[in-house]
Amino acid sequence: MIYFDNAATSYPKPRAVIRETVRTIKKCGGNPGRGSHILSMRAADKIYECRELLCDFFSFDKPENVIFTPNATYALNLAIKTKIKKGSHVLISDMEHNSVLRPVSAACEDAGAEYGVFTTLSPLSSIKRKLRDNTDIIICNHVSNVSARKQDIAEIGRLCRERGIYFIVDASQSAGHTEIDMTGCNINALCAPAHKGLMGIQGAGFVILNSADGLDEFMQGGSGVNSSSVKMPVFLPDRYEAGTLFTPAIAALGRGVSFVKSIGLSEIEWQERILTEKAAEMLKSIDKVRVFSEGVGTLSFVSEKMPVSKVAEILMKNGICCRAGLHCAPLAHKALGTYPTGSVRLSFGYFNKHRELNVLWQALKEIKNG
Amino acid sequence: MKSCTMTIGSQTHSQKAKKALAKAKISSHIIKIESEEGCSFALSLDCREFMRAAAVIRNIGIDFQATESI
Repeated sequence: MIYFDNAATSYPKPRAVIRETVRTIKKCGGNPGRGSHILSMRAADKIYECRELLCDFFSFDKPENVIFTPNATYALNLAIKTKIKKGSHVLISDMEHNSVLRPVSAACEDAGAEYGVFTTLSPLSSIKRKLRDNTDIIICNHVSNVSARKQDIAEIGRLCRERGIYFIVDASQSAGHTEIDMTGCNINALCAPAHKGLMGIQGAGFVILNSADGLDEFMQGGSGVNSSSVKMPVFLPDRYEAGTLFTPAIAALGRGVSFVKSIGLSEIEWQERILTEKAAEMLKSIDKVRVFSEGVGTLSFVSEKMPVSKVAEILMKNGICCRAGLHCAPLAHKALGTYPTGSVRLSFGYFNKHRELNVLWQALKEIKNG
Repeated sequence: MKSCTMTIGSQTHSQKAKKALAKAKISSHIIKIESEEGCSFALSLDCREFMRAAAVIRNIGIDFQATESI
């Protein structure tokens, strides 16, 4: 079996991550933040260690501002819905996933706010054209989950800082693949999942907030402290971490981050770049195939000879796991001209081997012949 | 040894404070106590280290209350 669906979730996981998950379940089984007995404190220590690792990884200095969530979608909902207010004007990019588009649309409708879409082909000039006096939030995915188009978040962050605009970055496809300097890029809220490039397991995500100032409450429930109050605590991370955290998934994330650091982002990026470029080259050599390859790790293609679902079926018959359709990113497919049928996506990871592309080539011959 | 308690509130902030104290070679441990707000996390440490610990914790921007000494 060949796994080319790393943009959905990375597979396989490093052995150290699997060991850490099992060890945490066995040895750190208390509820973090609820008691001060040894099992609770062991769990809490695992979680705090992960907060520190993430801060170090993303060049930030407040571990208490790392908010753990069940996934990146929850993290984005948190960042978006605590910030959008009545009268807000939000700009999102034309490559956004539904994890941004849907909460923005819902929050704007609920709050009485508006949103617009800027193009990522020339983002700065597009943003400047679409800015209004009341534009207070810009949301941008760092790397597209369809074509790997990458945004210059440093430039967009600079513009946001100059204009006092809140900057939310969806790093779902870039965290663990390329460097992100949260402080240097003036990011107010950085959201990502544990289980993709950071090599953790499914069940955890996070948002790193530069500050909680001016942000609404999001979800209410037990926090382990200030239990007499009907309000959530005002301080981070407790304000946004209602309910029991998923300690094994967080511990696995910490180990995943350590794994990525031990390999080095440049090494990972280099490996993924070679695989992406070779696959794109193969696909471009086939008549009637359009290829959307704009960066590292992920590419999409469509064949004029058969529907995307059929292509995915042929690849699966050859043992290749990929993903066909809209990839939950209708905006991106509209921008690429592949809406509403979508595309076939191949997404590579650190554990993919070059020889696996030979199997892809054999499978592509079937597609080539229609 | 007389032990003093510094009530911080959040467990995460208490962990951050404990680490800062450890760097300053001040030993402490995290406890959970009942407080006016319901319950809070706190650091327990040797009272002789209290003044030095207070300076370290204030220096990293964490608020606390010295609630009791046993």
